[in-house]
Amino acid sequence: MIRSHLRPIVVLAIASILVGACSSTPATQAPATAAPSAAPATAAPTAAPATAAPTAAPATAAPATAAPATAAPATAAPATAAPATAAPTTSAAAGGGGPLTVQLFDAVDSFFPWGPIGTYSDTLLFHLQWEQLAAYGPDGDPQMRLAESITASADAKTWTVKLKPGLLWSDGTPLTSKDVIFTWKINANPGQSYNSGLWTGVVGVPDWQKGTDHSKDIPGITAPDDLTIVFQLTEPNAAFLGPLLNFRNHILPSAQLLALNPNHLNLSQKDNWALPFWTAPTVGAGPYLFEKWETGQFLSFLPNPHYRTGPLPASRIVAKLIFDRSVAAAQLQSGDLDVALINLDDEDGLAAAGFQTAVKISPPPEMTVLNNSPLSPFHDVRVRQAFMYGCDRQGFVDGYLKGKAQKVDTYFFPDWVPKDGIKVYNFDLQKAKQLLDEAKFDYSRTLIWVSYDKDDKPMQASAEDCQSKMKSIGVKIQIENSLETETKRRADGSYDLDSYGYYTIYDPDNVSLPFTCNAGPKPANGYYAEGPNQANYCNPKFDELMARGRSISDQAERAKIYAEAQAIWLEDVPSMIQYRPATPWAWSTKIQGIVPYGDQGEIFNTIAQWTKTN
Amino acid sequence: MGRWLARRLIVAFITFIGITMMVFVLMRLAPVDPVDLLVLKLQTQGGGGGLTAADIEKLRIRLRQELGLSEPIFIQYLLWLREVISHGSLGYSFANGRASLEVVFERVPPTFILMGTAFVIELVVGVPLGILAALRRNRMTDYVVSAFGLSVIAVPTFFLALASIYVFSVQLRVLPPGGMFDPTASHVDPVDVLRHLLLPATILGLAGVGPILRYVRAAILETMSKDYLITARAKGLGASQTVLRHAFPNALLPLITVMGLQVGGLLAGAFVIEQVMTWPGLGKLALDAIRARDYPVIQAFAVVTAVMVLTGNVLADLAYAYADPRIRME
Repeated sequence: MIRSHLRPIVVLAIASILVGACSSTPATQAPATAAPSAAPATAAPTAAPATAAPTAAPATAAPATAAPATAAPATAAPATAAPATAAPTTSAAAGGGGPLTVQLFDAVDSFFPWGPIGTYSDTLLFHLQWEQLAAYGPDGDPQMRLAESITASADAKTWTVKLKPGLLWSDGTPLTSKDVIFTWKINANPGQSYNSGLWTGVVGVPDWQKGTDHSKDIPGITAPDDLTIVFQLTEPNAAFLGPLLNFRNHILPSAQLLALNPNHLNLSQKDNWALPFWTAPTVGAGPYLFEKWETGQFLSFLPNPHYRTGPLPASRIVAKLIFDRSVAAAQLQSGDLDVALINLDDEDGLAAAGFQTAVKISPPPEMTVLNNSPLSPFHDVRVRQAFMYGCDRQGFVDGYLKGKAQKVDTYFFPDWVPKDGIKVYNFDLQKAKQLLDEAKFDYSRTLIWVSYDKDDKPMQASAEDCQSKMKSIGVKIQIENSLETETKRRADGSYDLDSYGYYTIYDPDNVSLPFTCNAGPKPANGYYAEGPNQANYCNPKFDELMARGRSISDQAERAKIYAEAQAIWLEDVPSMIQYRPATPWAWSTKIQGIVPYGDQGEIFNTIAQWTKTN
Repeated sequence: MGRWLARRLIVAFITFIGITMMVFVLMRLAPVDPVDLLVLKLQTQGGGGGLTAADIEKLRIRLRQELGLSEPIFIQYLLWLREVISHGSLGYSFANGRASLEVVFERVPPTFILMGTAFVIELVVGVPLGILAALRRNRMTDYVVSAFGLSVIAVPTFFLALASIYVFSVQLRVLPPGGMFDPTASHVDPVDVLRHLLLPATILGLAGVGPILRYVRAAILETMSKDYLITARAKGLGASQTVLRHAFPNALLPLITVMGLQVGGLLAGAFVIEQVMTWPGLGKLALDAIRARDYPVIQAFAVVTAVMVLTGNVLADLAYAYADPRIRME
């Protein structure tokens, strides 16, 4: 018998558990077999999702998110060598192996490839559910996937994609050029895609983008047959492979999406984004297909019975949302995770504990933009060079990063751009001081160094390391880490250095976008607040060389041009490239077939071959 | 009683409106809004898809209009309130377009389970230990129990969580390290859920044991000095009987209020545990939404947690009134 004075407490306690237990059915999204509702959201929201896409960018800008191939396209020859196996025409059996448990290390929101988030984990989902025409391998070599070949004409104005024959969607319907055309109508639509600016160099796209009916064909993207897609460009672009292989370019099912809504291509961003299909897709061409989404915990995937390479080894993929690398390492050790993105510090311990580990250099470098505008002392090239000498980038890599990173001396990464005799800025404080004195640097001024990512400890540490080195020669630097500060200072140009990771350079043409002279009237204070050229750098000769390099197909010729551009860039050093960080992976010895990538979002590129032995 | 309850509910409602207004305004007064964040992400993730300065400016204007951020804050609040009243909608997530209330409600049950279980653990462990410490005042048992109470207050929850994962999951392999159930199982097994619940709930509960234990001990000791209890002892009633049948019930009443206030503390602690132990509750959702400046989800989260905390307090007051006849008579 419960005494009356105890009853309230007991009731409170039991009530809270009961309420939770009775409503504790895990929040599960619709399983893959259920057809989502066709109607877009009609209820009046208080605010639309933040997914409005920008208007078209000028055609001359090189694609920003592109990661072009290291191999330049040869005349009428396949762009890359890749396994050109035909897709199976009959259903493949589901995997006979056990489930694989993998990690999603960022928030995920949607299977829609061109949304605003673009985290690594979003990309991981895309690689499971969808498929690209081609993708970059771990060392930057393009690998064909749905495409059998991607070739360019001699003048680099016509790019032809050939699909592999016999490709199927997971529901058994054929995957053809119609799906690719449909996909590009979404991709190029500023009302639906954040990558629409990449396609303004394709014939007819700018006018098409301004039109109101985006179901109409794009003049410059045609499909002469079910297996062929042709991209016609307004100007020669030898680096066009990069935009084609952009990590977001996953082919979508046209018939299935149009069946849900015939007006899909003209949906507003809000209505498209609200489609249940993007959080519970019912069809795909990727290796493993969405099964269920346990909110806040994991997503699970089942093998695609019609996957292009045949039967898949795993019976299920469980992708757990684990944001903390220490927690991931713990779950790896307890057997609750098969593959983990870990901390560098944990690598040795896990290797000693018998796990397989790999540390791959990440393609995108850590970069510190120097404010080249008249608002900053970095307007003077000698000050920029002084910092290149004064910050001990190699010492930081060897010390703080324990050698598990790569100091970089040039931004023109591809091996085919000659590096012999390039200007290398080795650590030399004396030289730094000399240059600062020559530039009559104002030592009383405190330089402002901003970065917004407080969680990126190595980036913060490298700034502090440079700060202390420069302090020894009298340079005062104040480091500010916050989103608010970065946003404000970028808006009014009141910063001197700005750190953030940059994107991968698989083709040297990619260097042009962030360092091209800004178009448009020059602001009174000389500082362009927006646009991709954060460094406010302008060298017409550099621009001319980059434009010329883009227009030539022959790689040897391009190499000479880019070597010249590289020399200018290294003399001017508009930004300080610091290092390429390392991406440490660890996995159970029971797992075979893993190919670790430096780019965290790309490791699932090879998931179709991962097997788990008991 | 009815009038008291009505008054209490009105006060709770006014508090609730005040909370929603405060959260709404504070979010929008923060220096970086979702549009700024999006533009910054586009720029730092590779130059923004080829966007020029003019494009970015147009994007800012269009996004602000679409998200309703171009209106004055007061107007935005009224528009939001209108949607709440007319459609029962708290808005749609900026991240994926889903109804923010739906997004938040999905995470409420796991948080409730975690908090509820931790609440029980707090009581089951804290109250008896507090009584024991009071009965054994100034003896070794009292010192040990009090030290235990202080240590669970002092040790950070996240550290306790990580250490527990290491001991019980990695070394001993007796409990799972995270999640709410085994994702590879074909169906959700309640026993499996309990196994997954044990570690996070225990850590969260232990974190609250300290204050409960110390409060019960102090309350009982204070009550023990009352004349009627001295009389009872003088008349031959045993020490345990005196405490359990007379002192404890009277010390219990203020404990109800403390427990009501614990709801807020449990919620805050739950957020930490959810992060470390990947428990799919509200805490993780809230942190992600704040990082992403997902205003509708933040607002919905504030609404739901305000309702939870205010309801907890009202229930505690009700329980207090029920337990203490003097309150009812007043």
